[in-house]
Amino acid sequence: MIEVRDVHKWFGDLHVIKGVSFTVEKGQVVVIIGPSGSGKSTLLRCINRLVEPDQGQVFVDGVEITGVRKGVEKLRSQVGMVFQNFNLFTHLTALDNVCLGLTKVKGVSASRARERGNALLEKVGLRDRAGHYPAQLSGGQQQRVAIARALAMDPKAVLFDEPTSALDPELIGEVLDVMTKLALEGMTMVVVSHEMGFVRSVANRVLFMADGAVLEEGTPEEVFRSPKHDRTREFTSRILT
Amino acid sequence: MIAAGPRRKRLTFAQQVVAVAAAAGIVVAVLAVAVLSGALCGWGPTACRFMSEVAPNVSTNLSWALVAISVGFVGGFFLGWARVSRFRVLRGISLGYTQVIRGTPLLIQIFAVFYLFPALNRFWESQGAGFRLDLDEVQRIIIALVLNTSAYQAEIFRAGFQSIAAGQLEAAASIGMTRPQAMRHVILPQSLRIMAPPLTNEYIIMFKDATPLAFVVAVPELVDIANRFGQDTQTVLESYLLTALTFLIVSLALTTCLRLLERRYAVPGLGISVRGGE
Repeated sequence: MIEVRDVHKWFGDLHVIKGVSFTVEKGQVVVIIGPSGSGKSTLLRCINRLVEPDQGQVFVDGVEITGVRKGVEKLRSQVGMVFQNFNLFTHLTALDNVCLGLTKVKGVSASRARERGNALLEKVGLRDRAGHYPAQLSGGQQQRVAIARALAMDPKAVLFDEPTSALDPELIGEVLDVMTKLALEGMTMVVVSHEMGFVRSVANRVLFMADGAVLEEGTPEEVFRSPKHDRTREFTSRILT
Repeated sequence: MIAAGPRRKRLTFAQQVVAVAAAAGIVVAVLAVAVLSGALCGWGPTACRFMSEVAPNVSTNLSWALVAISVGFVGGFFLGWARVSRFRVLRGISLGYTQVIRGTPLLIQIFAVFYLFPALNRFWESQGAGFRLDLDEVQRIIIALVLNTSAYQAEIFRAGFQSIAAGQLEAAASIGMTRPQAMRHVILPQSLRIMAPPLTNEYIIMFKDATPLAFVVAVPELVDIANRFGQDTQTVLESYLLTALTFLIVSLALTTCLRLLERRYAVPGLGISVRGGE
């Protein structure tokens, strides 16, 4: 579903992604872990071209999205994204946040968009909060609305950029529950997260990134139980305790 | 706090302009009532004459200001957008324009625009060009006001755009929006709510400080007419005080309309109007 081939990214002189390659099969959940500053978020953003890779290729569903000049937006809308800080549109209600892409990007009629929006809010357990503005929702609720917003575009895959790290501990569970449900339904997901419970139970594969490169890749079991690299061992021992 | 309604109409670009124009209608009506009531007639026959004959000329100032504000709103939007553009040339043009307008006296700008068109016509004629542009005095005044307020509104727009968190743009991009779409559906509706107080400020300045400058090119409006009335009736000071009062009434009506608009579109967590204060 997603193939990343030897992607490089420089910010000025800083080489933040150093030739990363990996593939995500349809319905798989791949989790990227690694110390902060290792390029996880940047790598994720290369997959929907919020960040333009300087070198290398990215394929989504067999179509190369790198190097495309016209219609990047259309390709981008096929991959949903959930952000660390939710980034809900502050001037819109929960329902309108979910519907905006449907009506303005996909051209769905307002009434059908509302129907779909309400169904998605139902799915994330927020049907009764449809009329609330982001400022009136808790972090966990905002993030669930953000997931519904991403799903509204019928994406082929969804990217999660540390979806729970801005949340109070007691709100993390509700977001992970929604993500787990989504994974079980067969959604292709690439997740940057250090929520070990979630990684262990849901991830098909784990990528360990450090200094802009993937150092280690395997099942959660392999990466956590018997890491090959010292750096992986060091990192996992710190986040597992 | 304003309770979350089930679904409220969203503020769009066009709606805002139309709403301001509608507000203007209300203002004129309010003023007319005040004038007709003859509230000030008790002060004496001259005051009475002033309020019935001179004060209504404020509608001249108001209509100039409203046209300038509305056109300048569009101009300011595009100039402000250019200021935050990816393209260096656009940023440069916008910055240069804003600097020149802000750095020169409005008085001179009015002079310059006022005499520019006749000069152009003479030039074209001398070159044997088969066309000329005949604009009347009021049109030329309004053009000068538009050029001026566009620059100031551009700065307000720029600040508004820059106050929107980068994450909002990323989110818009992530659901497949193009940049213009993100501007229209995400950036603009949010920044307009934040910009409401400084925009109101600029509109009041246009109305009460900018339009009376037409006196330098001898185009009649309230201050000019009041001045002549004062000279004729030997009541210069009184006339000016009543002029000030007239401006005050209309300004208050104008700010009230704008504040109602601001409230009408207030959203929890955006801008300052939610707290109900000024």
